[in-house]
Amino acid sequence: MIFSLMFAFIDLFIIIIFMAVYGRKKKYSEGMLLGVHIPAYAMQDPEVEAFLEDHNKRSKWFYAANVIISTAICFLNLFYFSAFITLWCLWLLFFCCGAFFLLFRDHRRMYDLKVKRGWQGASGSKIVVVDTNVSASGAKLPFSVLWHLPVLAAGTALTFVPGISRLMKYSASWIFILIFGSMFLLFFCMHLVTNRVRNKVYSNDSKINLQVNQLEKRVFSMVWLSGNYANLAAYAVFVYFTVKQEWMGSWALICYISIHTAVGLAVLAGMYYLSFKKKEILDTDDKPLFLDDDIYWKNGWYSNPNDKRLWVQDRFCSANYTTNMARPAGKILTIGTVAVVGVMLVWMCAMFLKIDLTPRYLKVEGEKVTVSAPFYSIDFNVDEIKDIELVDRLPEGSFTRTNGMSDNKQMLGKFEGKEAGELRMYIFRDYSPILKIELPDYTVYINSQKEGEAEQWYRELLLLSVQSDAPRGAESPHW
Amino acid sequence: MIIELNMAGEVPIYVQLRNQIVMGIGKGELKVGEKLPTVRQMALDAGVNTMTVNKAYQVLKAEGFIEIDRRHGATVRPAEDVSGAFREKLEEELELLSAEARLKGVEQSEFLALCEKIFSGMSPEWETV
Repeated sequence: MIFSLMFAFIDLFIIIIFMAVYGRKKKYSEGMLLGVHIPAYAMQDPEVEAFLEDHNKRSKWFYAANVIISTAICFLNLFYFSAFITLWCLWLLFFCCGAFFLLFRDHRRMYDLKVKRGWQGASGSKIVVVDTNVSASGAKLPFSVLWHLPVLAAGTALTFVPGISRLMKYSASWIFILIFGSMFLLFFCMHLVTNRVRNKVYSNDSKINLQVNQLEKRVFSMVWLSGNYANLAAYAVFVYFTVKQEWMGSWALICYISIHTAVGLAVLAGMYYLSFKKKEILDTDDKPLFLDDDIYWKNGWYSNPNDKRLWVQDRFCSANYTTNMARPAGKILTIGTVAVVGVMLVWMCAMFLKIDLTPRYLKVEGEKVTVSAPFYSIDFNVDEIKDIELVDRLPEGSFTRTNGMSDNKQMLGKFEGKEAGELRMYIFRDYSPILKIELPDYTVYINSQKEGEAEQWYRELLLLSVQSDAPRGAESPHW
Repeated sequence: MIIELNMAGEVPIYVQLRNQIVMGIGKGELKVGEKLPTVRQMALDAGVNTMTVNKAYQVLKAEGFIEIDRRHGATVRPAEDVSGAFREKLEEELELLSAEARLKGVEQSEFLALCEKIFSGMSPEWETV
């Protein structure tokens, strides 16, 4: 149930993010409606008004329907996990495709309407605009990446604090160092990318262009810098408590997580502040300059053979970057990413379906015993059996899964118990009895969902053991 | 100054860049003494190769419109035509333009008025320190 609720919450989160980025009520902004440049007076056109109303209505229905469908799918988890995960992946696929289809189709309809009416630049513009004042100040706009160096120096010094290296033997300690290192690299690279982003021209007034570009670069570079300093603070918390009490306590862990959460909130706050301030500056502009490159966006994605850039700012979400599909690398990156994600999802569904649908059983053929399962099937000779026993439950104590899967319904694969040693589990939880087979290298635990099947396997093995004079179970079966 | 480049036009990008910078200096949109963007930044913002921008800057330098310093980059610094080479070039281009205007039925007075109007729109400015 908790798992279902968790997935329902994740689904809601995904839908809200999509809705906020692609599905929110469309307004005329920066000379555009639905990513298409049109003159301001076109907003009063009855056809545009009707089109906009229609688009907003359909978006609302689409997202509302997806909330209901995705929540319903989550509760399938109560029955078959594989059926749930397969349907969930299919839902995610249709939801993503549906959201983009809804946006791209209406974007194209708007573009066609613009061409039909002959609104500005409808024939397609090949113009690139550069503001020399902004470009000449380019290097001064963002904060320097060199401000990350103190973080690197302090982080490296903290790693070599006496006592930390001794605790490295705990695998969990490595995770914190890994988190610090990867977060540092992420923020550093994001800062580099921010500094390399092309300056945009919004107005014929250079002051406005300079203000907006400076604001964008300063806010983003400050966000990445703050992120790295917060990363250092969180790492210092880990080092301090690890050295002081040999391990992070609950409060230290809460403090560590809170600092990282604050970074995420700072990024969101930075973006909100940026969009607010940007609008404020652009509203004062009386000489706006709209570069009409809609022809390169007419299908919803960017495809401009005259532009050598691979990454461009997304038309529908300015905080996003998308690839230039006119470049081979752009096609490879986009199609490759979609293909890799698709293959991974198909593979994951196939694995879960295999786990749920492949029968698991014990079969005896002559002297050979085979345990057939979705994964980690085994076979052994009857004379290898040291002991067989029917037990009501698994032995007390915890088991560590070394290879395989374990959820609230089953345990499958290789496990290790502190006292039980190496194990092979083919267990449906809440089903008994369980057949325990002791072999020289490991112990096998297997049961069945069919009533009487485990007992039947036990009898078969017991009979074979007697025939081959193999050692048998000390206890008698319980039925 | 706002520079507009037509990426699909017949005129090479470096020539467009050179022409726009010269016109910008002439109209006072780019002040004498003002720094031009670095080659790398201009290439990044225009989405063109650094070689293209470098070529435009070299042409501008050779024609005496800008100065390039290793440390300070490119600065608008038009030098007067002392050798008379520019006047020769001007005469050649005006001769061709006059011929074309005559053949297309433009009157002398109209041609001269147009020249005067465009020339009077040129007012180079010097950067105040």
